Amino acid sequence: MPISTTGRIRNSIAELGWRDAVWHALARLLQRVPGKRCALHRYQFVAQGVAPGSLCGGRGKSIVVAPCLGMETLPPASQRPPRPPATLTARFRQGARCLLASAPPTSQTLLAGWLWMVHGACQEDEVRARYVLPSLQSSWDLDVWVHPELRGGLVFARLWEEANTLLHEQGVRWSCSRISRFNRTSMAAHARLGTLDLGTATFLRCGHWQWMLASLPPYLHLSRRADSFPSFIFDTSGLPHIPSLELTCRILKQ
Amino acid sequence: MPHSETVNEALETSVRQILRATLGLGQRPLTAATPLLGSLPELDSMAVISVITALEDHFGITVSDDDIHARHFATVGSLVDFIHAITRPDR
Repeated sequence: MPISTTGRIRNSIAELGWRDAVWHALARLLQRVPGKRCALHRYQFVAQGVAPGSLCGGRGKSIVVAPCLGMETLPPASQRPPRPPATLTARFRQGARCLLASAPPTSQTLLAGWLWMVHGACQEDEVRARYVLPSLQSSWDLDVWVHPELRGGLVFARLWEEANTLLHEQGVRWSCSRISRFNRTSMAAHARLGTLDLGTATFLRCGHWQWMLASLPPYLHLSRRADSFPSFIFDTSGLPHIPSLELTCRILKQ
Repeated sequence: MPHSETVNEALETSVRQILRATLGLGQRPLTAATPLLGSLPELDSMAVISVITALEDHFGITVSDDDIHARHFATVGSLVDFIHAITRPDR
């Protein structure tokens, strides 16, 4: 049965809170602008502890996770999620690495999922913004994707477990990322993983113009050129260390 | 009431209790038709591992990795059917 407009608004307020529900309604309205000329994005920045240990408790070993360092080692476009090649090339150019999860041989799908990581700084794909990580003990993770048919399985946990191991070996103790405040599932999942909130930012784009309003410096930014963007500095050096990944599991069970 | 129905009801009650305890659902109503994955915000792929572990501990079963699939977590009923299939004596 189709949900009425009133019902949809009521659900949206219940799920997102009235403030984000209003932003979400505006974002949906802007999606109707012809030519996708306008868009509104509202981000939550978070930091996730990186610590030794196992997230899967030894499960999911048939899911092989391997690093990918360049376009030539990515699976063919038909097997990967729809991302413009220019976006992927730009990620590699800024030093990003990708972890590829291969599904067990019994599965119909070849690429089970991927996760991207970058040190130092990350140029945002979706809006004009740069995330700067001054501490060598921090990294940025982005575009965590799991094949739709394998969601609810062990792919995400295996990807994060491998990323966690790799990052910890490199001395990283916090992995920062941005999530959409309109994605309540992702917001709730991150909260259960014990992430720390680092701030929020709202971007409104119309044509070449971009307006940004954030809860952290630079707070406000207006631009209309590709080379003009706000830089957010996320310094995790003052954050406490998480002793083990099992602590995350205990948080999950609470 | 046939014995198998009593067993199924007991199993369903246990599964509901485990879901409530593991996911912190309180007294939220759960019936066989209640949708889980994709509808219950508390149940994501990480929480699935916690639920599987709790089910294994409670029923003394082992769930293989290949069996951890979204289709078993579609509804409370599908999860009960899945556990029932594993715990069945003639399996």
